[in-house]
Amino acid sequence: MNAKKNIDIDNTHKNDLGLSVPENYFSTSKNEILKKIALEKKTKVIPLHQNKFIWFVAAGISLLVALTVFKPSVFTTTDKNPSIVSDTVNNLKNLELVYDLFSENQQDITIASLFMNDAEISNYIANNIIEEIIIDEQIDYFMLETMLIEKEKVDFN
Amino acid sequence: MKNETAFINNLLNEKSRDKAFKELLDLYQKRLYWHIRKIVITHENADDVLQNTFLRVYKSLPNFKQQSSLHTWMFKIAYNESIRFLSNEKKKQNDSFDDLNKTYLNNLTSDSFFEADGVQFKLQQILAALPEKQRHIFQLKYFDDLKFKEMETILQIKEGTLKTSYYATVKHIKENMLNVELLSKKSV
Repeated sequence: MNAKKNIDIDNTHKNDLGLSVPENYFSTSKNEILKKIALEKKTKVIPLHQNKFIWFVAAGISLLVALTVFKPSVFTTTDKNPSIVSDTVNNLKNLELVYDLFSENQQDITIASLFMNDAEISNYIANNIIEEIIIDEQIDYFMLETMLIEKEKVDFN
Repeated sequence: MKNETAFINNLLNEKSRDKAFKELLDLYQKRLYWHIRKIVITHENADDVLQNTFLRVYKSLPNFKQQSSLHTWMFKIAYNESIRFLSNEKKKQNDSFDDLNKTYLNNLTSDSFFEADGVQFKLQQILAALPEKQRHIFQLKYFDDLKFKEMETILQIKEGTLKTSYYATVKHIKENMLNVELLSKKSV
């Protein structure tokens, strides 16, 4: 836009609507805006994704939530001869491990959670944890199927 | 602008951004100020919103996807900032809908940078009596000289609706202003 048109805008608003601005307002305002932007650049907060500690703790919280709510048997050791007894023992061990982890880190997690916003945590869970659980489940299902096929082969022989 | 693509590239490039941003400020400062001023009414408020607008423009530049023209994008940010300001003010003052027109005129007359004669004041009164959205449609077209297509993107209202509203408002203003002129001639 050229200078003439800029003057026209001022005149239109003055003549039609009775609106005006203080003298030299636009040059003062330009300096103010540039100052604010320079300040903004100086005090730029470290983006959340660069703060490794917070992400680490967030991942910890999310993992604990995911493990306790969705799949407490993720630590199950590979058992070539699964039985109800060994499964139950493993599950109990897992549960203790989860509680131990939680009680050890509770203080850190509580403090760190103050710096995280809910949306970030739920995004992280949605993007990573849920996907990992689904993949794990698929792997488990695949392994179970392979075991059954092998068992059938053994029985058949 | 002759070479908008090159200019946008300069704005998007971190190395050339600051220099290009100064040019952007020169190009849009007045236009956006007057656009904002008509929505938030007083000079003091317009000054605040203008600063916030350019700050937001600067922060959002890396995310500018060029889905609309730079011109439309700038006005959209300014409009959204103005509306955000107004809604915060309304929350603070807890205004009822009936009080809005009164607030418009009260803010206007309390502003030391408003000085109107009879005809200017009458036009402001007519504008104050319009529903907020209808007033914005008229202002964006008549004073800010935006195209209906651009207004569609900024206001998220269909082009046909914008045209109908605009022409109805122009007719309404003309009729009312004519009455003022006739009255003032009679009184002379």
